Order: sequence, then C-alpha cells, then structure tokens
Amino acid sequence: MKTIFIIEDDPDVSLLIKDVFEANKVIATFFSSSALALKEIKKQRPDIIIMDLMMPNISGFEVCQYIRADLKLKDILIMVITGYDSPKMRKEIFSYGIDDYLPKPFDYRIFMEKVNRLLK
Amino acid sequence: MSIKTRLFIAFGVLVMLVLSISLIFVAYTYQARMLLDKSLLLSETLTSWREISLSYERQTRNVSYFIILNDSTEKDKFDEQLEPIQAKLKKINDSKEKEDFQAFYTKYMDMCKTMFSLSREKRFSYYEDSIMPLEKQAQKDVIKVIDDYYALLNSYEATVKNVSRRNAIISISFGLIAVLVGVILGIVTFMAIWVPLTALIKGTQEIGEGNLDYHITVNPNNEMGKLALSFNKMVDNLRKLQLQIVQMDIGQLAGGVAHEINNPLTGVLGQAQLLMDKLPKDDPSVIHLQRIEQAAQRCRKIVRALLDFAREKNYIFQPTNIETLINETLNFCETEMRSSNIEVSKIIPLKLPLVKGSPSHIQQVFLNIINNSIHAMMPNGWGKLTIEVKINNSMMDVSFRDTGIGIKKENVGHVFDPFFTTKDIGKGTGLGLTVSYGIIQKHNGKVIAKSEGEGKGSEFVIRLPI
Repeated sequence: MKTIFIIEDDPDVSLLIKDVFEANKVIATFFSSSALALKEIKKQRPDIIIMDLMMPNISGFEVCQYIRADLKLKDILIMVITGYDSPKMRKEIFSYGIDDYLPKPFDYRIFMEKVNRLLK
Repeated sequence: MSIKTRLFIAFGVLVMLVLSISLIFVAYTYQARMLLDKSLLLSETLTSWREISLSYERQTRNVSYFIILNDSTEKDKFDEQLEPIQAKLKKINDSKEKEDFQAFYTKYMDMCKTMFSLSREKRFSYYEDSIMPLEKQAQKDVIKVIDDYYALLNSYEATVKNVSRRNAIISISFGLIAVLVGVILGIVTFMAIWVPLTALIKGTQEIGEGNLDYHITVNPNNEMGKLALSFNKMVDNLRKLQLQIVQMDIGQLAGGVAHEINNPLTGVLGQAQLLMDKLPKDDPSVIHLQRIEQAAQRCRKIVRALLDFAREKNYIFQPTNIETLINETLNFCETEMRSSNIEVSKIIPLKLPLVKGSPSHIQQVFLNIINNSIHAMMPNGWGKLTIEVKINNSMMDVSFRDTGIGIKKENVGHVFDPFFTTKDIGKGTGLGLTVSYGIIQKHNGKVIAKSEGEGKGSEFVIRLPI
C-alpha cells in the first residue's frame, strides 16, 4: 500500500480531496501547513505527495527543492495542484522535477485518473 | 501654406495697402498745396501787374494833362505814382516781362523828366516824337502780360480741378481695392483656420466621448495639420497607456483572484460532481447539481480569460504567412460556422508577402474577430463573412466583414475597451478585442472597427506592417 501525503492550506480543496479519496477508497494523510508536512515527510517518507504551490512560509517550490535534494527522499512522486496556471508556471515547476501537474479548479475524475497513475 | 505665413502675408498686404493709400494722400495733399501756392503767387503777381498798369495809366494821363493844361499838380501826381509802381515791381518775381518793363520804365521816367524840363512849346513835339510811341507800346505790353497771367491762372484752376477729380477717383478706387483685398484675405485666412478648426472640434468631441479610435484628418501642411497630428499621437498614446494600465492592474488582480477563487471553486465543482456521481441518474436533485457545475465552469472560464489577458505571453516575431493563418483559424471555427449557416468568402491576392509577426498571437486576434462575427450572425440564422486582404504601400490590411447584427453607433468607439461586451452573460468576457488590440499594437499595427449601425453588419480591419 503506497502512502500519500496531501499538503494543501485551503480547506475547500483538501475537503474535496478527502471526499474523493473516501469515495475511491484511497487513504492519505492531510497537512494544512508545509512546515508540518516536511517534518513528517522526513520521518515517514511517503511514496506520493500531492501539494499546492502557493502556501505561506514554505512554498510548494521549496518543498519540491528540499525533497529532490535529499538522497533518501528524492524518488518520492510529486503532483502539484495550483490556482496559478500559465505556460511559464508549468515550465518552471516541471524544471523542479515534478511528476504531474493539475490546474485548479479541476474535474475530480481527471484528478483521480492522475492519482491512480501515480499509485501504479 | 502655413497659417503663420498666411497671416503674415495678409497682414503685410494690408499694411502695404494702408501705407500706399496714406502715401497717395500725402502726395495729393502736397500737390494740392503746391498748386494752391502757385495759383496764389500767380494771382498776387496778376494783381501787382494790374496795379502797375493802373498807376502807369494814371501817369500817362498825368503826362497828357500836364502837356495840355500845363498844370504842375499833374506833375506831382505823376511823381506820386513812381513809388507804388516801383514797390509793386519789387514784389513781382524776376521774369523777362519784369526786366523789359523795368528797362522801359527807367527810360520812360528819364524821358518824362527831360520832357518836364523842356519849355511848354517843345514839350508836345518831344512827347509826340519820343514818348508817345513808347508809351503806347508799353501799355500794350502790360495788357498782354496781364492777359497772359489771366490765361495762366485760368489754366491753373482747370488743372487743380482735374487733379482733384483724378485724386478723388484714384482714392476711391484704392479704397475699394483695399476693402476687396481685405475681404478676400479675411475669407482665405478664415477658411484656413475655420475648416481645420471645425475638424479639430469634431475630433476632440468624438475623442472626449471616449472614441479613442477616432483620427482627426486635417490638411497636414500647416499648423492645424501639425496640431491634428499631435492630437492623434496623443490619443494613440492614451489608448496604449489605457491598455497598459488595465493590463498592469488586472495582471496583479488576476493573479490574486485566480488563486483565491480557484481554491473554493475547486471545492464547488468537485463536490457537485462527486454528489452527482453518487446519486442515481433519475434523482430530481441531479439537475440542480448540473446547474451548480455549469455555474462553476463559467467561473473557471472567466478566471482563465482574466489570466490569459493579464499574462504577457512571449512574442516570437518571424516571417508569417497570413493566408495560412486565416485558413487555419477558419478550420478551427468550421463546425460552428456550418451549424450557424455561415458562408465564407475570401479575397486574397496571389503571392501575398510575408508579415513579420508572432503567428500564435495574430491567430488569436483572427480567432477573436471571427468568433465575434459568428456570434453576431447567429441570431439571423445565416450570414456571410468576407475576408479580404489588401496591400497598401507598406501595410497589409486584413478585413473581416460580416452581415451580423452590427455595432450601435455609440458603441463603435468602445469595442476595444476592457470588459466591454454586448454578448449574453457567460458568452463573452469583454476582453477578446482588448487583447487583440494589444497584440496588434505590439506588431506596430492597427485595428479598426467599422459599422454602419445596428443590423447593418460590421467590419474589422487589421493593418499590419509588411
């Protein structure tokens, strides 16, 4: 069973993901702050991280950089969900070495497709 | 000709006219005065000669009486006349007549004195032989001099009359010419200022009402033309600035809005979809959930359009084939056009030159305009879109003419304004043409919107430098 961490500071989005996962019987750990999540990431080393980009204190970019720079953590699959969508943003975020990307607001079915792909 | 030159010429001509008229008047006054002086002198001389003639006649009479009556008082009377005659002679200007008369008179006086000294018997014969012929001749001479002066004076009077008549005619003619020239110059100068001024007033009114696409056309050779050019430039800059301000503010705003709205929107959209999937297809609540989903999708579209508008996309300028872009864009819209019964006709010259531009951006402009045309023709159930490409000097005009609902006259100047839309709610964001305008400006081109009015179709011309 692969472990999934969700880092999302917005309650609407994390609630939706919770509901979608519940309906699809996917288990995940939810974090509303990136600092808290980073601590747990180091401890538990999840297989998949799904996170927002624009978060207070530590942004998604920084989380990404941290994970990719750590030998133990660098193989974690990362999927980014963001409200800022632009070709420039996509280029930038993919340069950080993420595995998938989904602009908000999204169709939950597409979201699940992407999660399932990561789970395989 | 510049207005400054015109005004200078008009003013100069008027000054010259006034100066020449004044000079003519001065000359006439001087001439009249000269004539008057001369005629005064003539009449004075004439009077002197007449007085001389009278005194002289008296003297001759005295001489006669003296001879006949031997009355010494006659001799005294004769002597009395000598002084006035000499005084009068002195007054007269030097002339041949004066010289002759003086010569004669000296001789005459000498002869008379001789005669007076002679005995009574001898006096008569002496008078008859020596004085009388001379006396008669002198009388005749003096009368002739007087007659001559009379004639001269008369001719002078005639000259004065003629001259004053001529002067009056010339003065009146000059006055009339001055008035005529003044009127013509006035009209010419007035027209040179008034015609462009009206165009400027109309232009400023149009622009003042917000029609920033209005261009003032004035003969560009003079100051008014330059004023109009500067004004047009100012309006162009104003439009550019407006777009920049809108893009800047909206850019910042859109970033924040996108993030803030996209999060709750994700919840709305996702939860509605989730619930919809959980409920049986025939559940009466499904229809409401569908409506929630549609509304959320609309929100997403608006946020996306805002972001598209605000984002400065990378422009890659390269030689671009406009015909290919037109065809590609038409392919995108083919289905929509077919369903709306829209016929397309293309008038594109062979061997179209390439345009230096960013193909994806130009295509976005074409797509925006064609989409607008389709929407404008949809209500009629049919339509015709004519795409015509023309080459003018170093510009390429791409015109999109449709038979759609047209643009209201008061709206023509606002179609490029941000958020201006006449489409139904949810159909348009009001940013399509604003974005198009910005793109074409980046290409140093122009977008011109034309419409004869509501119901008469509209035309958009994209002017790009080749």
